[in-house]
Amino acid sequence: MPTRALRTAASGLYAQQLNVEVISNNIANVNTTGFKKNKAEFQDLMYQEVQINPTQASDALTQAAPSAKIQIGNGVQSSSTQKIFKQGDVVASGNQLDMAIQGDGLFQVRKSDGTIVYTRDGSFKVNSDGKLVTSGGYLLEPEIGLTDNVQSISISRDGTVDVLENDGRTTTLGTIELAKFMNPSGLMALGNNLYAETEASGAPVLGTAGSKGFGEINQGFLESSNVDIVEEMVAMITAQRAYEINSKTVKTVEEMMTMANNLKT
Amino acid sequence: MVNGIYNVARSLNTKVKSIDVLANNLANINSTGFKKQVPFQEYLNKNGEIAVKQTTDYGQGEVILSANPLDLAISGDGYFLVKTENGIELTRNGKFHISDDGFMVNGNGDKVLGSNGEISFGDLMDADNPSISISKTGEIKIGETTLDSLVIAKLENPQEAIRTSSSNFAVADDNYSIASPQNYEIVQGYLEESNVNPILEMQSMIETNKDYESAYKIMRYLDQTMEKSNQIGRVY
Repeated sequence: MPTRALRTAASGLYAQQLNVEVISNNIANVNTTGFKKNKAEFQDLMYQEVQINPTQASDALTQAAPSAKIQIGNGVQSSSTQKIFKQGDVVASGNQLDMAIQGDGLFQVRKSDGTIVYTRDGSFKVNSDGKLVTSGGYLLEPEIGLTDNVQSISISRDGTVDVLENDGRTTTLGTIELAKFMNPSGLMALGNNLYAETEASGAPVLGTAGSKGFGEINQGFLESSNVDIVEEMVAMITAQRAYEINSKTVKTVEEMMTMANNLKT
Repeated sequence: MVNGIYNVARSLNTKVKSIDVLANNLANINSTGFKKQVPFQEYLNKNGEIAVKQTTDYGQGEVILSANPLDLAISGDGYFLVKTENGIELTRNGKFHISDDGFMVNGNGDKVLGSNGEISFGDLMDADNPSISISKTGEIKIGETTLDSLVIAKLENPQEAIRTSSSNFAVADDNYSIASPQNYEIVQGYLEESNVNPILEMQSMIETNKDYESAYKIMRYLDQTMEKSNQIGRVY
């Protein structure tokens, strides 16, 4: 019975289901600041050598020649879901604590347990201690602390943070340092727009914004998600059709099995 | 007549195997670097014996943007070399990444081979300008430093390559050679899609299904004929 084809088609259905799950997560995050979309990748499963029946009646019981073997595959599996670190659109937000990076750098953020993680989400706030924090409450690294008598804050493209105080004086509070990775797709996504360094991503290289490859910091802007709805819709149509075509395989095999069952009346 | 029924039975059997091949093509409609298999054919060889031929369609798949620096597609004739547990294999699946110990590997963790052997990013991971660029001929640069260049091979006799998983092909040592750079172009940040065409596969599937049905009908007629012949001379 042709159950191999059924199993193969089932693996195809499962793969496309996973594909749709990844696409729907991308679409759900179409408005998430600094979100980087995922893409599911697939690869074929192992192959098996299968003997083809000899074609003459007299050969029926003899061993077929070795050339009478063919390779039949067993279907598909997902190989990885990878983050695509493409630049998202930079949108003006008017908030002076919002920052967008145009380039490959990431902000460094200190989690409450002391570990450093990385983010592209530049929507910073001020916490009760006057320190710049992410929306999740994690401290920006190196720390930038504001004093009580700050009138306005200006962040230059190289990350220098200057404040204008109530008495009209300008003070430099510090510089925001960016991190860069050789293989950003090797970063581990932690959720909440945060990424952690892994051995595959390489060690972070720290540098000032605006220097080669790090990208400039734009104050008053936010980087929107790099999900393109049209692209995702096309991917969804492709995935749905691929799902459908695998279900056609199931149907065809089912018809063939019915015929086989009806051979003897 | 009994001969006939055996032939039909074999036809039914081979059609089932053809469907297996088509099902695998369709399941891999989104697999990177996948090359579709054509359902096998039977033919008479030089000695007049019946042999089976299975062919792989090595046609170019569509090359689409993926924006990751270690995603590579080959446009033209050529294969990446990867070192697996079972020896060197060839692949068109250019979905590579850096392993935890700093090597350039594919999805199964098999190391990609360059002209100096396995490609290790090792110390260069911490370089000042950690950007990877790969030229059309396969030269890998980290910032300004040249690391290695990819070895691109070509198959001497493509139909003898044996498929393993993840779009890889296992080949005998004398079945591949280094490809000449005029024949291929490596495109960084792109991946080669599967070359399965759903329309052609559906067409083959309908054909196979109908062939199966014909064989089924012939078998039914043969059965009925034999039933009739059994009735000849029946004693009532």
